[in-house]
Amino acid sequence: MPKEQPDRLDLLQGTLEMMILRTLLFGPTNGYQIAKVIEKMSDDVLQVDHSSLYPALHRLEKKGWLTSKWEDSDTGRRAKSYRLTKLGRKQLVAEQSKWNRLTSAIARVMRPA
Amino acid sequence: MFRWFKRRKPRDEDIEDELNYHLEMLARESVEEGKSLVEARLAARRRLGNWSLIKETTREMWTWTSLEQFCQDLRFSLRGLAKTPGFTAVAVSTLALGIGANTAMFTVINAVLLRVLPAEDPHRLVILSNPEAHGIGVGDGSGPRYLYAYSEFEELRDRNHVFSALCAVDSSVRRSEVAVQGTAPTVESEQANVSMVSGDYFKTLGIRAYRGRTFTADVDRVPHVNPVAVISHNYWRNRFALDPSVIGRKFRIRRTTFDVIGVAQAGFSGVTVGLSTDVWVPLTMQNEVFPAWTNFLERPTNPLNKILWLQLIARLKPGVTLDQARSGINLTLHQVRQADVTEMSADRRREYLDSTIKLADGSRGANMLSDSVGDPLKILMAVVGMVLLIACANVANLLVARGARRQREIAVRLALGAARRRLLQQLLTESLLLAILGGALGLLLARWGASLLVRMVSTESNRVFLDLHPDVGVLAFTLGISLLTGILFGLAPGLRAARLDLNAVLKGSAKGTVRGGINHGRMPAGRILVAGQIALSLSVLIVAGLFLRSFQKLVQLNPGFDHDHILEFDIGFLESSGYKGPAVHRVHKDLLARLRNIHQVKGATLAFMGLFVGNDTGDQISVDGSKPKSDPEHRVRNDLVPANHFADIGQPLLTGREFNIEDEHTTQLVGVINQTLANKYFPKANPIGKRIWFGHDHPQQFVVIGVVADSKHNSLREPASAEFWLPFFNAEGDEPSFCSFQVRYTGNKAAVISGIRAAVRAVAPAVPAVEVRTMNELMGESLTTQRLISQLSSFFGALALALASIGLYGVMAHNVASKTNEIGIRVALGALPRDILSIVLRETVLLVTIGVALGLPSIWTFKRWISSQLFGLTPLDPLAIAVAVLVLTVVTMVAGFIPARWASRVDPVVALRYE
Repeated sequence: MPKEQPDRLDLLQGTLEMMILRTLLFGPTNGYQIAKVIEKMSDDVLQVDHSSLYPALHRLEKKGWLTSKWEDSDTGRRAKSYRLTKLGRKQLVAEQSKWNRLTSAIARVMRPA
Repeated sequence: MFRWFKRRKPRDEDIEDELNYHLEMLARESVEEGKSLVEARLAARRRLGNWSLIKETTREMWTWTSLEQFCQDLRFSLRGLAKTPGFTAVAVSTLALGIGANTAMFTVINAVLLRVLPAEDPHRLVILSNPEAHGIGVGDGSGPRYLYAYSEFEELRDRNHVFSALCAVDSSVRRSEVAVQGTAPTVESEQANVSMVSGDYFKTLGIRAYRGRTFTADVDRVPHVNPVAVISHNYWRNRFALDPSVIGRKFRIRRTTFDVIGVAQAGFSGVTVGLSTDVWVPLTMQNEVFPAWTNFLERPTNPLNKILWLQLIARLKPGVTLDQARSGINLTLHQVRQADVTEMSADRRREYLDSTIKLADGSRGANMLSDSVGDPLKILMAVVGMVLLIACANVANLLVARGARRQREIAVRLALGAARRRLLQQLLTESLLLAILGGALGLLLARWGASLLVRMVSTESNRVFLDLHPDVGVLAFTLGISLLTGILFGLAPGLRAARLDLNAVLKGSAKGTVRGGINHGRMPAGRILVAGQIALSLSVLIVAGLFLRSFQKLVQLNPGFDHDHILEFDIGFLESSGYKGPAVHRVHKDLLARLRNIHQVKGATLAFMGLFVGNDTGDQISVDGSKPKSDPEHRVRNDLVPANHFADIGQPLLTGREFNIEDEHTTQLVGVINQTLANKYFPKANPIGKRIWFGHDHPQQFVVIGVVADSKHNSLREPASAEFWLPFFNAEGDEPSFCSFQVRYTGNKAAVISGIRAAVRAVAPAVPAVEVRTMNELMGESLTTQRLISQLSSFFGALALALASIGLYGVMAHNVASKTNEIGIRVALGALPRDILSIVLRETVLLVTIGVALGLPSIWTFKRWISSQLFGLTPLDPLAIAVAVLVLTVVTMVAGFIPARWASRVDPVVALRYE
């Protein structure tokens, strides 16, 4: 097992799906890249649990927020790439505003006294 | 379905390819960091986590998966059960016994207490009479109403504003002689259950004709002229083989020919639970179908002598609530009765007007069983419920033992990445499968068991009919308890498996090791279950013991006369055979004389109410010359008997004398009283010569000439009550046209019975063949319910004990087997067989003691509940409890002794090489 880095955080319940949707806003890509992008964008602070990534992707696909297609990836190997649907975009907007409200509320509570 | 299978395969591959790609990329990442390819691949695997678990949870995101998993589990369970047929057979048959007994009991409870009439919108039906009341009463109908007279029915029907329809039904079905035209006459006379109903009966209930038509209110208009009949679907099937030409057939009941006009809708056999109707005829044909001492349809000249014999059922008008209907119909009743009271005394008037209708839910119709067998059935239901729990515990123990053998398999599956939740699900599938198999087999057992139960509550003279067809309620009940038991017994082994310590099992340390004296962690669930089983069996055994003792006491009761040598019969209403006035008197006198002359007959007598035939009558009395008050406290049962009656039936005379021939001709009325009456009203004085006034409106008086010992009349359970007797034959010659004859005999019963038949034929050739019963049979019938309850609770007690013993044996045997190693070491170190025996037995003793300690307090919980069913003892009867504890202890100790003895004979050499 890779050593657990002390400054890495586990994801909040439900935030993984939101971030998957956000990542796919940049364009369609595969599961591995999604995990990489999330980790990179968070400056390696967030740790994506690879075992919950694929169940999450498939759940989103079943809800109709994503579609998937096997495509040649940039590494030359065929990979399954996910694309945001119109419904998914709408969902992302909703999640984004919910998230903003939540974080600002928490921030207000946690504001240094 | 096809599309689903086609789609399945790519999905699996799809996920696998996707994960493979992920792995490959992770590995490539590590290689770039400078790791070797092999190392990189391993690192990638670790990083990704449990491969099959991810695959499974990912696939679970798609539909069908849970069903697919279930099918998989089901196949797996079936394979597993088929591989261990012994285990499967024992588990399934144990469950089948438990579930079968419960389903049988519930089938009967459902049929007696729960089933709704197959009527239209049954919940709008109300019953105006007491659903429990049956028979014929004579009186004024004051107080809360039981049954109604025909005149009351007509007035309530015509004058109420709250019912859209109101019908009347004879509260009994009449077993009558019938003959069907156009079919071969049977050798013996054919009989059918005939129910007399008012014309609106079918309309009120919303029962349609399956064939032909039903009759309507028109038949009520003119009495005696509407010989039409509707037959039940059952009767149509059994008697006419569904022959459609039955409509229009002639059908003779007694001496009148009826036209069959229709077949009622299937599944309907009358409104009274416990009775089944073959033929419905209009009430207005009463005199033709059931000729009695008088015409039951006529309005009585004296309103206090109504013939009360009808159940009334009505349908609420749309929008009328039960409460509105109740006040509405009581108002109508009050108005109707107001017309009768002009000539009554103020006292009497107040009482007469105090007559109330308790409107009850009519959706279940009337019931002749719920009163007598309702409570016993509920008690037995609780008892079989406990038996099922014990059976459940046994199966749970079997599963735990089986699970222990499967620990390795389960550990390997866990190590290979099976989710514990998934494993639990699979184990639960297995136990549910067992439960469903047990339930299905139980359902078959129940069909047989339920009809056996009904046969047990039926008697010769009171044949009980119940529709035991398993309806939705019964099936739902069986499915429900099957699933519940499946979860109940599957949970313990399932949770154990889910908590399994992988490392220990795989290292093999959990097998055959010695950890302290007791192999802890291994069977605690088993021990708890066994202690619980013992506690439950003790409860069942105590209940069984109480009912057995109670029944024994009842059987040993003496009715107060020579019951072993008495035959009883009646010759019906003599008017209906054509005898009137002086002819009635001649039949009675001649028959008595002839009966006395039969060889081996020691005495022949008769009584108006008879013995153990279910008739009863009473009058208020006073002993101080005042007018008897209508206080039930002073209502005393009475009967009419001829001279020498008490000597003839062997009832002891205590003081004075009994009736002689002269008493039948004097104008001074004389009477005989029993000891209870003498003690109650003349505690200090000699009652002989005292006067007693009886009757309410026209009090009469008699002089006491003798006191006889107390006796029972309709039930061995009835408490001693006051009673007096007056002469059957009197100077006015107006004796009743109905009575029961008692014949006391010695020697051959059959010869005496044929003598009786010959005597009846000679004296009254118009009377149909008589049915002669022994007094012991009649008395036995009064104990039918008690016999049922004591036999069944004993049977279930034995079953509970057997199951608990098997459970204890199983746990102890398993225990000994898993401790073989330890025992071997102990023996090698010098322990004697006796020591080993006592170590193992100590545990049995502990389990039994805990079980008994848990079980004993349960008596207090069901104490109040069963005391009403017990006779002559309290629920805390020390003998019953002591015997139950003793039987339980002996049997369970034997069950525990067998494995202990087996342990004490362990050969240390064999035991230590056991692994």
